[in-house]
Amino acid sequence: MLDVRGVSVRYGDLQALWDVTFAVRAGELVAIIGPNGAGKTTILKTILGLVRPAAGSIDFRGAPLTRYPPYDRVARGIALVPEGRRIFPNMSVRDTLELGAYTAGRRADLRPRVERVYDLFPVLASRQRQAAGTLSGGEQQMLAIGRALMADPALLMLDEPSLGLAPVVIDHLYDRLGELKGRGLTILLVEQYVAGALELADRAYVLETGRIVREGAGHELLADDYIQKTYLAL
Amino acid sequence: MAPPAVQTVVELLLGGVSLGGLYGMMAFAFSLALATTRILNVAHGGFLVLGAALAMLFFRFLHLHFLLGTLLLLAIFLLVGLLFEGAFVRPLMGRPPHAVLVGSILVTFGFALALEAFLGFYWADLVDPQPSFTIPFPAPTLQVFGLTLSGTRLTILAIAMLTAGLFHLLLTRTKMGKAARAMSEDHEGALIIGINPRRLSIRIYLVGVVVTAFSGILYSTTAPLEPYSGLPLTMIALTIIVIGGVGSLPGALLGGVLVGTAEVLTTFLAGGAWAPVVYLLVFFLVLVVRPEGLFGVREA
Amino acid sequence: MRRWAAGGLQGLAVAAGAGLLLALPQVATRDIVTAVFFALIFITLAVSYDILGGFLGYLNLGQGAFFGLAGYVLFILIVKVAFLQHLGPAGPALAVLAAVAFTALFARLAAYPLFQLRGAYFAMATFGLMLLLGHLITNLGGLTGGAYGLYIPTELYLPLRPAYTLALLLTGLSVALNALLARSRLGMGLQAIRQSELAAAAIGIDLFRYKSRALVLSSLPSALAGCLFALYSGYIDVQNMLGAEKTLFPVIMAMLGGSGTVFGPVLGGVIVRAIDVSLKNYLVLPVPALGIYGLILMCIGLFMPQGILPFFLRRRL
Repeated sequence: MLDVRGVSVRYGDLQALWDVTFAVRAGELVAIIGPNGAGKTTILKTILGLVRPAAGSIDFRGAPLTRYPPYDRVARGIALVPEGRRIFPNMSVRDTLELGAYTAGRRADLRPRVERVYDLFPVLASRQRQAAGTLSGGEQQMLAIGRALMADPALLMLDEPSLGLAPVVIDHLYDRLGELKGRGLTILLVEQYVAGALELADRAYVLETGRIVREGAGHELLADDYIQKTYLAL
Repeated sequence: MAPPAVQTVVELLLGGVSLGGLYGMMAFAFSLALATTRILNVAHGGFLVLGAALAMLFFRFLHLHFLLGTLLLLAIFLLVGLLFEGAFVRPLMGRPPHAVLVGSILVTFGFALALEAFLGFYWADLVDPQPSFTIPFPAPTLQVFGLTLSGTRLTILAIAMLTAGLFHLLLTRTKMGKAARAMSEDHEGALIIGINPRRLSIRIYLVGVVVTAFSGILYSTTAPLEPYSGLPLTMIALTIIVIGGVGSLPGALLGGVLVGTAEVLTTFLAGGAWAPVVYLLVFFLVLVVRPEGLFGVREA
Repeated sequence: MRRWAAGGLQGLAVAAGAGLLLALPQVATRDIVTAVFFALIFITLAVSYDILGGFLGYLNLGQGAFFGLAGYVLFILIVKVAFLQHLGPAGPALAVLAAVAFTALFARLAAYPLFQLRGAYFAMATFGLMLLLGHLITNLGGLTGGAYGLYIPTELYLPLRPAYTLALLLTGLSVALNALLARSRLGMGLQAIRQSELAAAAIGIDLFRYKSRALVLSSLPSALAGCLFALYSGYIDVQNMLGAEKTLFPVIMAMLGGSGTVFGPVLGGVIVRAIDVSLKNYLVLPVPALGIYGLILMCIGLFMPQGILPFFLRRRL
């Protein structure tokens, strides 16, 4: 579904990504793990078009993406749950969700989409009139995921959904991600919470200082010596 | 008959509030464009002047029919909005945030100066040697409890309130308004959910220029505008959003009424020459006392 | 190696230019000397503008405020303080010192509201400050002459020759100040702030202190230029001391030549003055001059955010 080939990204004199190549197939949950500053966020931003690659190509559903601006990529079925959630603090939960379907046509009926998000995260239904900025961190993360789902994406990308959340909340979120995966949604998950991500992932890539240094099935990497030493501190 | 003192106070208050409502609507157009596109449009006040000048040209010199003239003005203002956005806003949008702000100042300041200079020069040359734009609009006065109220000012106040109501509906009920709010609250968040910043900014400038130019016409029904009134009007808009916060509709209205009332009272007590001193002092006072704005959060 | 060679060449060019300019009154007509005098005044404004605009990255649209304020304080002192007129040349000199000191104090105080702001808000506030000053001067007619302006006695006028030499000296000092600043702790601090205020604060730079020092420093040459201009003219009013072009020209000149470089504002100044002189004397166009400058400003903002000098320097290196 997604083919990233030889992508390099530069910020001024700094090179953030070096010749990154990976793929996500339909129905897969692929994880990218790695330390802070490895370039994980940059990969997602490049896929969505917020960052321009210096070299390389990105194909989505068989068509090259590189020339399209972010809003066209969203319309083609890519949704991002960004790092730090980036919700709109003064906007109500309901309005935020409806904005999530911004690229859907004028006549699209949003009610079933909203209902599906409320089924997944019932707490959002009880807060629908509340301003997004007044929600707890976990609820804000659910809202950010709900907002992305509202676009009815073919590929859902998540950037460190576990960041800054309590373990109980993380477990709950990962259960929901498992549920989404079970429904056949294609997911690209970027995480520092390596254990959880690898457990859920079909396949995973390890990104260090802008390069992919290892790849494999989720459970393989979970058992890998290097991963255990470096990321799981076993 | 009410006592003369009461009559004077009521007149001053009505004058201040109606001027304030007018200021509020033009300041909100300025504020919305700033919040969503990060372009600080120094030429904003120039749109008021342009509106008044064209209206005067059409109605007083060419004697166009009211409806025809109004439609023609609307068409011209929409065209101005479209061209302004395309020529000055779009080229700056891809630059980094600091470059956008500085670039927007240079470009729009340059445009404002050119507009002032050319308007003043050619108006004096072709139309009237003393450029001054005013459109007398003698609405009948209203008698309430023995008080005489200016129909013109009441009309302005009503239009300003109606516009504020429409702005409110735009922001809370329409897709475009919600997208604009999202854009001003979190720029990148708005891009991520697929908002097309170009399309949004075109619409915001279309609405903004029309509202601003028509508020210029309203302004010129009570006081004349000159080619050089543009930059001071931009300063007034800026003062209002420093008071009320960028992107806030209630803030713009409250700030507008505050500045408008201060201006009318100052003019009454000390003369018109002191009015700009008062609003500029308010501007600096707010900056020192409450840099984040009186009613809102201002992003620098 | 190339850098050294380039530095030597630059020094040589500056020395040659300074020599030529010093000799100018001996060889050129009065008109030319006057034109160069005005050019030097504006170049000083542009160079001192660039302490904020170039080093700190803050757009100051009120540079003319220092110019006008100093001129007004100077004239008010000369006109209202009688004994200054009986001290001979020492009188105006004392008044100039007082006017510059007053302007520097004003800059220091203005730093409090101004540096609450950044980016475009800062720029607009500086413009507001200049407007405020203009309105106050117009309204306080008893002190400032209001719309009529102020005159000084003819025997106190500064003749063209000494005015020219002083202006040349002032421009030289102003450029030297920027060159020194570029290598100083303060200058480095300002450039760090321009790169990132957060990072600068993190390495222990007192943001407000650095910024306000830069503002005071940039007010000094501009204030002196205002005094020189006023003494030469013998007459001041709001239009000639605080008109829009006093604040517009420095920005255009610095931006055109290359903001943030020592000689960029000088180059830009030469170009803009050349345009101005030809517009006023040789080309008779059916357009207002201020409109042309507005268009130039617009084009700089749209097409040349870096200015001319950096554009060519980057090509060469």
